[in-house]
Amino acid sequence: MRKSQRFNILFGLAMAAVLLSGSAAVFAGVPVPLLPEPVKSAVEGEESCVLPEDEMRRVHMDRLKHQRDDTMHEGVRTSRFSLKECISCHVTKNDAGEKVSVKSREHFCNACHAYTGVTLDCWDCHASQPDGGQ
Amino acid sequence: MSKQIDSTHDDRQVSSGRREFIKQTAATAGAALASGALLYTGEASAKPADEAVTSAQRWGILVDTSKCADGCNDCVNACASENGWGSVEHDPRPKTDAQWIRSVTIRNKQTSAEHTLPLMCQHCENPPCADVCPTGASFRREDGIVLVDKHICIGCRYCMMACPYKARSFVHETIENQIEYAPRGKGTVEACTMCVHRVDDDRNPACVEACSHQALTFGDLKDPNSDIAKQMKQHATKELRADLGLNTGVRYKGL
Repeated sequence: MRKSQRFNILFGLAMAAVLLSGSAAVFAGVPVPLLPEPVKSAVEGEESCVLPEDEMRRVHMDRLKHQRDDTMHEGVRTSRFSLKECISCHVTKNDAGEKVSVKSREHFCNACHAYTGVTLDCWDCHASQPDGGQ
Repeated sequence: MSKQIDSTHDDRQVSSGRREFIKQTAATAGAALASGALLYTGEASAKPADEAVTSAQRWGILVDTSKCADGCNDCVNACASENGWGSVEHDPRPKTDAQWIRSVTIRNKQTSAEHTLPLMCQHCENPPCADVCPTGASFRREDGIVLVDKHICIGCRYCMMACPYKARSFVHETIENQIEYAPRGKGTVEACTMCVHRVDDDRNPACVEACSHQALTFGDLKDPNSDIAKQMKQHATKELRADLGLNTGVRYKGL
């Protein structure tokens, strides 16, 4: 076993001990975002997202970047991993039934990114809601 | 944690059915030709969405200045509404507001002959904008369309200085409510994309579609059967600033 692996395991155990010993209450003040359900399933006949949820959490940025370069430079226009497709599936509506933009904490992308404190500049250029919010 | 991605999820790999369909369609079209039917080849040829563009095509626009009507601004307006530039929140600032295509009147000082023509990115084969771009954001696609990859554009505006046609604009203001297929944002340079989202969808650029005087022809310069190639074979056409040797994709007839 390498030294770094041993450290990782020890660190993991330490963290688990901290969490289990009731210190988790420290985090209770920050509400974990409830991700809005997608309006339609991306792949016909499949219930899930374009990838299993746990995988999407890890690799969605890689997939988006890959697709971004393919589309921009090679004109590949498949929709599976396109930002546009994410936006159109995961469109969120507010209580008034209007599509919300990324300025709202209810917005699918913003729900997580605001929670994790990650500021993205995708929406400086890209539309954050399908069909201009109509 | 490994970042390896399962390639079986890539939809580029599941396109054999679609290719088969295209082959069959082509065969049917061949049969129709043999029976004497006419096949219109003047338009863009379909590219499956999952395939990359290649240099087998070179897209171009031919402008017939003799048909271009005085005072008509249809192509400019169509471009603006298609791509979302032109309407600004602030008071118009003509010197710096984005302009992807504009109507220009040129006059020969000796003969006083005047021509009105639309001027936009000329989609050069040897684009000076791409030459000077320090990040590689300005580039020419394999099929000849010159674009700005705004993901890597740092907004230095060197390309704007290099372009002999003044075809590029810099976005100075924060933009909201962009059009889905036409992302634009503050701090990046932009220009005519030859409506690349339409071209990839087998449609004509918005300006060409909007021209009611048939002054604009879009097509594949490399396909001898295309409308544009036939016209260019038949008539004398000009590149603007041909002396620069840029081999532009936009050509003018009647100048």
